Amino acid sequence: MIVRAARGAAAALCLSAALFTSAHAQVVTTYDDPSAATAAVELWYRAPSAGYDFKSPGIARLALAAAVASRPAGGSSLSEIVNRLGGSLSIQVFPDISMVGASVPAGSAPAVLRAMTAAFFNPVITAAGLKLAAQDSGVAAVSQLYDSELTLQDALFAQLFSQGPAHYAPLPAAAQFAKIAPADVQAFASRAFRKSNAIFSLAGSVTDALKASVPPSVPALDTPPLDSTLAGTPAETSAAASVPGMGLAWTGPRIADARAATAMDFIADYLFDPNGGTVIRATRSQPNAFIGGQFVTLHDPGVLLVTLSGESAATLQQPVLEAVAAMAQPLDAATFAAARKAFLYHIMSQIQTPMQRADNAGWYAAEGNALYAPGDPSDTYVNAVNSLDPQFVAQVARMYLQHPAIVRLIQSSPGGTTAT
Amino acid sequence: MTRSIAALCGLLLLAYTFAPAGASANFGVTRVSGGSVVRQDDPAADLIGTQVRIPAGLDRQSPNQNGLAALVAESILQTPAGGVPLGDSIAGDGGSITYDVGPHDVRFYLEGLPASYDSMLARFRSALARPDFSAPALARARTALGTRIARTQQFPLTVGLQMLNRTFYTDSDAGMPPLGLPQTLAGFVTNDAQAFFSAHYLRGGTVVSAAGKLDGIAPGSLEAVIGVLGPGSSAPVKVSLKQLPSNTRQLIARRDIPVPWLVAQYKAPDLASRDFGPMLVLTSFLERTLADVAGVPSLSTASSGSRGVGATYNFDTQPANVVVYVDGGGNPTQVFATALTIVNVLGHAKLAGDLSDMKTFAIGRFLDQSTTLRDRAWLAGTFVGRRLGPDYTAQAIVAIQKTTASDLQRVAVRYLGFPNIALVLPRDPQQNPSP
Repeated sequence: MIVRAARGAAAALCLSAALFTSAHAQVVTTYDDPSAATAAVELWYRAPSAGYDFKSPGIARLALAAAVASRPAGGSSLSEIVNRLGGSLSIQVFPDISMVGASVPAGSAPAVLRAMTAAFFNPVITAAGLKLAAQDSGVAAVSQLYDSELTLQDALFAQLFSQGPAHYAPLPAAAQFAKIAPADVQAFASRAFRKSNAIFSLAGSVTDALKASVPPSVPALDTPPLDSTLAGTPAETSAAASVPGMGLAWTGPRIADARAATAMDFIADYLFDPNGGTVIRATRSQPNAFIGGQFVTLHDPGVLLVTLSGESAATLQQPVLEAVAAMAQPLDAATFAAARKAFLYHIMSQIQTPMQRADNAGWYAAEGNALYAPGDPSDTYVNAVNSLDPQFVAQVARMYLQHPAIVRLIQSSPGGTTAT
Repeated sequence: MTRSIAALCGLLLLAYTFAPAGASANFGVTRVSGGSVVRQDDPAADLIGTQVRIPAGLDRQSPNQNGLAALVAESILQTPAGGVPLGDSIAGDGGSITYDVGPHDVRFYLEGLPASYDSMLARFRSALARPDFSAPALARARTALGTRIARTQQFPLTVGLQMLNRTFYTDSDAGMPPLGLPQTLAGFVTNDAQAFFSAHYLRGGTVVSAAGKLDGIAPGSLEAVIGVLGPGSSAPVKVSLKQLPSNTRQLIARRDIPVPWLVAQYKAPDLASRDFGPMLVLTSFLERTLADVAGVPSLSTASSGSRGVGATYNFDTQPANVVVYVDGGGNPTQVFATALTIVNVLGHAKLAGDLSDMKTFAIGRFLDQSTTLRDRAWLAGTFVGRRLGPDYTAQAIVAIQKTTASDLQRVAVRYLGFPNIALVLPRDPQQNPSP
């Protein structure tokens, strides 16, 4: 699992409700909670963040923001509309996926969905919209300079994958955005945000009016999930960065192997849950040291990421490696049973709001296994959790958690990371 | 800025409709021995969350009891349940339990999977009935509190708010540091905790507010939480604190933070007041104005925890207050001055035209901030605690919708005058720590 956490926001899954597939072949996931006062509407796209030729790092971020900020003739931009409603607007770019989402009062959701599809299906990037997008993307890039977790994630992916979307940071150095030509942004937006590449994800109060706002002539998805090429044996490297830190990454099962992927989720939760993870608890007394751990469910392969930040980050490496290695041995039955219950609770606690539900459904659909999204009515994920046993978890750990890629961040002046 | 001025001029922008928010939520309220139980059934939810608010907060402490309310609450989480502390026991059963100490009450929040929720609730009731205040339990509680206290000092907004609260509440200790201080906590012994618990963990005024998939709770389980508390009710401890001199409205603290923060606090209307709706509108307007004036471009919506500017209407405390905050990423003084100027204009000139844009925004913010089970349980409990109905969304929307331009002017004049201000500044390495 883990959607937003991959880019630093809250992780998200989805709640119970009926799966609604529109009359079109287009994938539309809907989680309907009649008691919700808000609805989340989202569009997800399979698109490489660095461009289709991988020569324009950041172009997906810029194009997404520009589409959100551009005003149609005589109208308001999507950003203005959502803001005026007091709602929340979310734009997220991952190496292989881009998304735009809004959480708004339920009665306004149909209008917002129409505005969203109008802005994205035939994007017209204006000069003013592009300017706002460049500012917004630049600020986000500068903020990330001081976020060791995201910096490490990007550096680890760059090392694990030698080619393909995952090799490139979705949010490059701020200066990069100025190098992207407006015509290229328009061309990327037109290609990436086309109807036939869109996945709708709706959650919360999904009324008939909202369902009816899905355009009637959306064609079938024409782009498979985007994979990247693994670099050979994982290595250890260092990178200059604005913050100190250290990261470890192991490649794991693909999303189609639901049981094994769920076992990796379980391992990440057991060791690194922020409140009760065994490693977190054992190292809580360490001053100036912070640990994050998650399994990022991807089409093929998934990745277990562990980030160690703060001035004492290096002291945590050994305890983390020992704890990960210990997972190769089965947990005793009582410990496992309690850990599995806690794991299931953590999953469900992350899918409480419409936005969280829509985020999660969109992520799993974009990565190629919509039914596996936790909370899906098929209960695929919950069934996978219930199928886990100590022996299988240990087997998965032995299979995947052997040789991590390691990246050390060497603190220098701001300006992004440079692999050495 | 553009949006704010547009709203200020009463421009009609968009007229969206609002769904009858929460119309499908199934609310129920029962009164039990001076306390209340609120149910907010949501069959689509996967979890259950219950807030238990007991009038045993900061204003029940005497001046020499700073931190005792927190120590008692933490001790309840440390009370053994099945051989391990209650908090660990619940975590191992698919749930979590936390608490906050407020000006008037302590608020426990128990969230978990429906299948094991009754069992968790039973263990919580048991800890409430027989809390462990032994010396080892208090020692564990002090350690846990020490960690939390250190963590809160890393957040400038929290530091600023704690400073302001100490001057805001003048007839009780409601404004004391919520978790106490390590040096005050060190002095409490078993008898102190037991006496505080016996005096204030009572049924009167207790509100148990549950939200989520409530068919997983056995009949009477929630009521039984109130039942394990002692009969009767307690009152705040009256004290008299000196107010700030009229020419001293700024408080200053230094912390290890990269940029300065400016936090301002105003008195605000009570939740049950007719000024509640207008203040919701004004607060959301302030929030938007501050974001505009701050000038940091952000197309997406930052979470409340990562926002550098904002305004919050704390309507669940008495007296209520509004807090406005600006970090030093830009020019906090200029941003704040501009926001105050706009508020001043609101107070001196009745708005002409349509207020739809301001109301739409206010409703949207209220709904957007009430989507988690924790928030939903808190809101329903807050409204019922003030003897209002449990359907908080419907009441908030009605209050906002009927707000007039005259209301806004009146409320701006009455409440948004001269705030108390806290400045939280980066620590000068040459100086000694400040409070």
